[in-house]
Amino acid sequence: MSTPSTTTAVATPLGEGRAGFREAVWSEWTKFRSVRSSVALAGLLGTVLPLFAVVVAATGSLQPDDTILGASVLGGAAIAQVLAASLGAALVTSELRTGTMRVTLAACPRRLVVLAAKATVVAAVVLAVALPSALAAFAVGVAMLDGDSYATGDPFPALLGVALALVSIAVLGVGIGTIVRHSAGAVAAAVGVVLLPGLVAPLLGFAQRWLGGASLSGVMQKLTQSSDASVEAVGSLGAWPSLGIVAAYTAATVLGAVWALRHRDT
Amino acid sequence: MTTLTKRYGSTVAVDDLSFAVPPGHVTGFLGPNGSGKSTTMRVILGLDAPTAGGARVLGRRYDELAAPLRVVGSLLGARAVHPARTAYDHLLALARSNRIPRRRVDDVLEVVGLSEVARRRAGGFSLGMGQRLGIGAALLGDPEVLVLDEPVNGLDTAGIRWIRTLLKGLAAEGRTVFVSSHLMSEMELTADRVVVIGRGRLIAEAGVAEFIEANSGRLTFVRSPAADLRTALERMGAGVELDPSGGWRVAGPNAAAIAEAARRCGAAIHELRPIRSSLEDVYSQLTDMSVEYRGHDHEEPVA
Repeated sequence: MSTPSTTTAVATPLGEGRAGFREAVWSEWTKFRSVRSSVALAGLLGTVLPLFAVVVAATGSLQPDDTILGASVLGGAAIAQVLAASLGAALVTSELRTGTMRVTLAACPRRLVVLAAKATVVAAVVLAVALPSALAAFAVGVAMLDGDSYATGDPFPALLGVALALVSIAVLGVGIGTIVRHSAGAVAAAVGVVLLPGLVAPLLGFAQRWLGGASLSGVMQKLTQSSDASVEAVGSLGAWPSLGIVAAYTAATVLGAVWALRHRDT
Repeated sequence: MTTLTKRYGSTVAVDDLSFAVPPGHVTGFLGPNGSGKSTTMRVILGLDAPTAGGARVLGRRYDELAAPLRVVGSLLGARAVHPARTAYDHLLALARSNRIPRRRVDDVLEVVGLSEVARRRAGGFSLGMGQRLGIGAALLGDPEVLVLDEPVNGLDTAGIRWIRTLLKGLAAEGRTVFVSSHLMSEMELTADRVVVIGRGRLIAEAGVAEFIEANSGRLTFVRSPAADLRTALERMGAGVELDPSGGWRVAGPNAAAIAEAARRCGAAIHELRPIRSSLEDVYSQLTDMSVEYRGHDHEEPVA
């Protein structure tokens, strides 16, 4: 440590200040890229889809009526969803754990702005990682699987939809992290959101298609024209309207998180 | 300026508390553990929602400030930093949130003496270094108002001296400096005003000298071989107590009156001096009745 000085004179003119949304996004981006574990998690998220595409194609573990698109993207989809949710949740829970949230809120007291900035950063990161990753997974499937035995499936704009579904669960993670407050609890909740519909929906009879259709896995199955996307399992609503439902409850969760952050002490 | 009440369930942490912190002074915020100091500071910064009332900074509610870091610098406990982030990045992220130029981060690191470790992760910092980083964050926006919760915690002697000079310098520049501490001797050296609370209520709000003067027990130390003098003093209604060092501690008459009494009964006086109360003495007496968790019993205060 150097000897601290006692002069506080400002050598740098500070100019005009503002603590708006753009500043908050800049700040959150700086925080994101300066913690190695979140960058590593994003990197891991990028490898999951192509990795499982290799596994699925090499082992031929797909139905005869499946599409190459569905087989190559869905293999790692559940894990990718959990990773994306954890990434979003960690942006909040790590701050609550270390007390940094107090510093963040002292710098930007508007809770909606803070959470919107975190959601924006995690959305941008996940989109930037997931889109090439989904494309790579599809390319793996096309290269390794026999195009005569399986239908290829229509990759565009389905792959964009897959990336957006991952963006959505990452943003949902921000909301869950704020409400649940602890990393472990938030990840558990996120795993529940990802896996429970698949486990519970078949038990619900006629309601199965409603729950399945509004689940992220259901949305991804529809997007990739997978054979799993039967009307009984995931309903007859189109892939994009289903993604809209997911986006809607994600937004609702984030608004709930804003409310929680306003009314709870940090 | 504050008028606030804060309850947690049925526990009233801060009860109808109201005080003002003037610019150009270091104002010490004193009170026993659990008396509501940190809660009050969190309410000022908009982090805890008050049950009733509210705090204003320069006439505004905290969440109405356009760029809060440029108006209020705050420190709420050391270690409010992600352990994997470097000191530089921690400050840079904060600077960006209020559109403070990047070069100011280097300036502030220089001021708090962390330039050489700026690129090291904060997780490896000592408590004192973490405290310096927190103070750096508070200074980042060159704010008019500083709200610091226990800033000397974890600092070594040199660090404590540094922060004392720093806070006095900031006040001399006309800034408002509001500092909580449980170290009375340190506050006596640093602060020129005090706000004292106990159980969430205001006990005193005054200049340090004035506060000590108004609440001192008016004790005089007397050393004399003549037991007659003690009897004479007690007859005058003075309280006389044996001091551990051998003399008496006399409450009531001042030094002149004691000297007169000694002359009248022909007693020799070896030592006679007013005992000046310290901030700690006065504070202990005042907060005795409001201490929430008493560690141990101690001598009855002489008043």
